[in-house]
Amino acid sequence: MASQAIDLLWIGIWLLGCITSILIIVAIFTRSVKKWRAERRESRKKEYSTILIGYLTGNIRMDKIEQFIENHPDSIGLMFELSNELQNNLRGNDKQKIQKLLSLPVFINHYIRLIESRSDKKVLRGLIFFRELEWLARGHIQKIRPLLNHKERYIVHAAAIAIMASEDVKDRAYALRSLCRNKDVTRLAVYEVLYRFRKRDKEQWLDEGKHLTLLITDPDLPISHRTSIAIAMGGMGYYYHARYLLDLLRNTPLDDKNVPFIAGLIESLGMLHHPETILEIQRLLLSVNSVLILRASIHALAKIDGKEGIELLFHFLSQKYDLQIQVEAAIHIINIDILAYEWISETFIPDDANPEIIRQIKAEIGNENFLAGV
Amino acid sequence: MKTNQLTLDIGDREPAGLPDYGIKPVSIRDPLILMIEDNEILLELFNYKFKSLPYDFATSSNGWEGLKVAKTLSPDIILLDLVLPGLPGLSVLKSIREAPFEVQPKIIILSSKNREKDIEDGFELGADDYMTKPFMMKEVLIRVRRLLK
Repeated sequence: MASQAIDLLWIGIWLLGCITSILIIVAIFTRSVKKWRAERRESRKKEYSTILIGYLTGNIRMDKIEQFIENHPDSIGLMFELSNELQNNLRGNDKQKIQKLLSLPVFINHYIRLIESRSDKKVLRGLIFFRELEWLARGHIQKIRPLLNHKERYIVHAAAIAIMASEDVKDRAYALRSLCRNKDVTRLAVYEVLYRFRKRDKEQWLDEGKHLTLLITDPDLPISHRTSIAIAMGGMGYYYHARYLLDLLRNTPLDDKNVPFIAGLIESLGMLHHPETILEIQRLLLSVNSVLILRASIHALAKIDGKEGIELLFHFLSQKYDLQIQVEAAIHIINIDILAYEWISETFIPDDANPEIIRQIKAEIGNENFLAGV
Repeated sequence: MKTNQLTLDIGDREPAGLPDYGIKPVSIRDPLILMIEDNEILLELFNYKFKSLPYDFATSSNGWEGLKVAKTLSPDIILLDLVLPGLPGLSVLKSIREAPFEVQPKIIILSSKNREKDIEDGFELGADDYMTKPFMMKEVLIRVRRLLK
């Protein structure tokens, strides 16, 4: 019995020794591989940085750099990262040169392969490359387009962003619509795509605006996204379409589900400085008590900055409104251009205005003559 | 910290003299540009550009180290990023302006921070110029040349 126990103990010790040795060997091997990889990455980084800078300064031709990338296909990701890091810090000719570089077939084909893979992670990595391009060929757009119907919303978002590099406004509008049809997409995601929707080429702005107005009234899109598009139209300055937004404001029925949309239209028209918005706000004030619409109206009136607008801003100092509304109106009054004060030498202050808020306005403006009539 | 083709390790010591660092004495050297920036590829790009021009060029990728190098080498111009590991760029700027230089270096802030407040703070603390990223390389060179006049 005793000798059997000792044998078992020896076998146990022997096994433990073997396992420990194997673990140590695996750990050493893993560490060496990691170190080797890190060193290789570092050396490739240095090599590529030198070539990239040589290319930027005109000492290395594009075909040389293309050859280098072709010879190191395992480092394409690293080369893209470095090129992209540099292009994000530069503008003008230097940036254009990097854009040309990123449009090389060696880069494009690599990332097209990724977006065609079955792994969502790889698809996303591929799309991240395309979002950095300022221009996309039709062939590439056709490869990306099917991803707008992907089941994962973050892939739809990334695909929509990538397609914003298309010169054709129809492609961009289609991508934006596909994104907005998804109720789960956040407003922030919609704004990000909208930000890229507009091209620098002013000749496209009219067409862009037309497509956006179609989306605003598209019944298949959730009202929250339609509201975001309406607000973005004001923020991006689609002045030619202000009249359309104004008509929409006039004709949208004032029911609960439309309140955020109406507030969005008012905000947008304010950003477009459309003076007729003041009349619409006056009309709405007769029947509306929604904080959302009141706040949007205050912001719009302050932006439109005309005499009638400023007069109407004073109306919000009435104590029939929430204190929050009174304070917001006061802040905007204080921030109005000093020239506007001449217009309001006579008082527009409502009889029931909060005296403390009026005192604050006078103190902030620091002009005793201001509001002399009070 | 790197200068043209040489690496410096200043550590915590208060550096004493210049000759060890390969930069010529102030009286006979080309204008010295110090760039304090943590983006490696930008440092390399500037190093390449300035090496091809009649300037000496030194770099640092950390706020604390950059401050020490500035005090040691008395550069003519400092290109300063605001978001830096170690000491933030605005603190580097403030410390340089409070330090007893024989001739205060000209400082150009080169930063991605582009809010009105950031720019205002930069000038109030004594920056001579403020450029935002993304920038045009040629413009940086023109502004450096203008400040050296």
